Amino acid sequence: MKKLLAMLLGVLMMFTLFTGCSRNDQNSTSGEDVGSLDGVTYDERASEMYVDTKDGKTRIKISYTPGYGSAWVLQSARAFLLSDVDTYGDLYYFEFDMDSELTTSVSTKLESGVGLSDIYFPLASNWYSYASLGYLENLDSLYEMTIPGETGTVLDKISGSWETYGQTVRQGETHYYIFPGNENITGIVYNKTLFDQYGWEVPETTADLKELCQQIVDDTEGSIAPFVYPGTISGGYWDFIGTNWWLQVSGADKLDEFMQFGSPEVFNYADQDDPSYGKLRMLETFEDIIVRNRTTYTLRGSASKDHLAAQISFVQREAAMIPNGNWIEKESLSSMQDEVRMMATPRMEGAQQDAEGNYLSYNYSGQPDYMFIPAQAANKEGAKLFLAYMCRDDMLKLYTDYSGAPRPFDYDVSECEVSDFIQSCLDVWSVSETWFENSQSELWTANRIKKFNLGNPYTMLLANSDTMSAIGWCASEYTNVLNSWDSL
Amino acid sequence: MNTTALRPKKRKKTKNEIAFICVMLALPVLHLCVFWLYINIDSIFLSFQELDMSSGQWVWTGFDNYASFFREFVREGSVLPRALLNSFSIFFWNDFVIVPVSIFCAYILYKRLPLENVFKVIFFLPSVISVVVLTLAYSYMFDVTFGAIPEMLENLGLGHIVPFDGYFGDKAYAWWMILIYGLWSGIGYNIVLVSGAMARIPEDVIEAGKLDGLTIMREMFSVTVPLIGPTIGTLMLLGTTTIFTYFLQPQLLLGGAAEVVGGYTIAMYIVNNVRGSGSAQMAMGATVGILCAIVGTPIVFLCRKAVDKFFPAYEY
Repeated sequence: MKKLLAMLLGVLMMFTLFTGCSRNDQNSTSGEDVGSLDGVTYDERASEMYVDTKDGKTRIKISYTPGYGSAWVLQSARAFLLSDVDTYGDLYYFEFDMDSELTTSVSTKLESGVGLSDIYFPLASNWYSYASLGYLENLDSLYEMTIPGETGTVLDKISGSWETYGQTVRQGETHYYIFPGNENITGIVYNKTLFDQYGWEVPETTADLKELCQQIVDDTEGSIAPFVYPGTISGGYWDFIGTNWWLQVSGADKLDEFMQFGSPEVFNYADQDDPSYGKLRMLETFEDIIVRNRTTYTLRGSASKDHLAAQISFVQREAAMIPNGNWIEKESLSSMQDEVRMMATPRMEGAQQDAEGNYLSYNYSGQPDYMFIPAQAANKEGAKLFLAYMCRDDMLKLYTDYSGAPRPFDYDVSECEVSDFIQSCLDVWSVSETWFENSQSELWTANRIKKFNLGNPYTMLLANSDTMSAIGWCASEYTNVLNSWDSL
Repeated sequence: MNTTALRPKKRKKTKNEIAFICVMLALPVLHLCVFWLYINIDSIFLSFQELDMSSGQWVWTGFDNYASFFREFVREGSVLPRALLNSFSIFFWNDFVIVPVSIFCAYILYKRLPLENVFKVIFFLPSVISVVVLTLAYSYMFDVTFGAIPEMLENLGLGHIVPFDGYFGDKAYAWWMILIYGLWSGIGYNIVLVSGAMARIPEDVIEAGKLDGLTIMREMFSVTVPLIGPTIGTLMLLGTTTIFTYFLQPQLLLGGAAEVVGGYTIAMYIVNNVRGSGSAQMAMGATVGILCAIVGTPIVFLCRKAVDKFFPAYEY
């Protein structure tokens, strides 16, 4: 008996050891179709790629998060090493470091300055303090660099807010410190197979959405919930819909004005011209559709689910829709038999129109993903050259093909070979103006003020549906900002 | 009489001996200097500074960070009062629930009940599995749509007691779920320590008690528990350290909703300031850390006194 128990304990200990060593397995690209790597040698064990040999060549080390897989970086590196523009393969070799904790650990890595990669690609996070403390390389020369094999500069090709987003002031001088990563496409992801099966129409307005939710409940007798959401993620991803509604009502200019945080009055919601008027309207819509009907329109237990558990419920047909983004395909849809699509965010009542009467359409990408080169990186020039090379038309297309995400550059995504789901995301993105939080306000960059300055309204409204209202939340937020403004 | 004359003369240490002592002490002293002295002094200074984003320099701001913290503490809707309450509740839960339950379980095992070794493995199992895996298993166990426990309650006709938002998304349950997780995952480690201490109690003490008519309960409270007092005291003292360090379990189980469902702790506030908000907010993390040290140090000393008084060490 004792021997048996000792063996059992031994096996458990081994299991624990393997659990501790799981990082290597995570870094592995096994299981993901990374495409052909002909022409280069890819040592998966060492996560290195080179042409013929790496001896005598300079390393370019890239750290990235696993959200969009590894295929995009392997294929980009391969294309760079086999470039027809120059003999980069004779000069450089690559080392890859997929790190699921990169976004939170990158500040420690930069501070220590030990074993730094040449390029980092974390998820959205507060990079201003990294730049301020001198951890990031000045990227002005990269923005001005001519794209290899093309005639224009990198900056010429960057689109939208990204033309200036990478800039910040350090020691009185404004420079670029981060480089565009990708643009997330967010909104409502739905099960097209279920929609076709029951004859449900994709809603165009918020009124249609509310009607659809009731129809789903009626048609399935409550066995399929209209929505599932990840409640343990702050805001439950509802902001992907909410900020889109805010943009529809207030317009991007008003949100840009809001994000400058010029005075506490930007939190005032009373008048239609106030930047926060749209915030109140969108929260009222959220309250009307979701909060008041949460026991019928959201899946039971959603508030306790993390993003993976919520996505599992969506894949298992427990809900017909989920607030999410284009990354859901890589994360959860590989085993799903049903067809899935992204819909354009339903239009709010009072949504703004352009001069020709067309409703303005937005894509709220959330805080954007970006790349940067550490000031103490070993191979800054090689890193810059690679990042510039990634701005070529064929490389941008390659990135979208393999990651399923567009990049904020002028290029034609219609030529990309993507799944039907990603195509539906790109269709939404192509006709929308992408907006994200972009501010040079010191209150924002120092993290002293937030877009929602009194906790997350979606989660708070859902958790306190009997005591809290949208207007009550907005009033509390405005009063709180007014009272604390001088001490911020 | 000159007593000093009787003392043996101290032998002068050779150079080799001095070198040996220096080498052996170098590492711990260096560790102390870098990881305790430097970090603590740096934290104290940091709590009086602020990062000037435009110059990239840390500038002296006096007590501004402390004032900001107190303003945040008293702000309407602030999570900090609840976070403080939760942090202290972990201490009380550890010392007055987990430790007694651990002693009781260890005592049952000590009494050589059937399958004692199997139970030891079962109790110890959560302690050898990674906290990330364990929290995932725990949360899936209680998942309303596919978890075993809600399903079991449904089958028993008790579905109405399963909250709509799930156990981790409902304010009434969320913090209790964290406490229950602490009990589930924490007793294994305690049982190992307490069992070890119980195993050292001399058999003849128990035998003598039995000859005097000692019952099993009397034996537990009057003999076993007093004789393992120092171990219990250590476990209780360790509980004080959780007050300002407990964050991983609520972070992994409640995630971003911890703030809304009443699952925030002071340590989570520090971690979120330091890790989640960039270097600019690091000073606030240091400020809260210093305040925790000011509040926590007397608590640790008081506990030490109480432990020494109630759990004196007996020689046997």
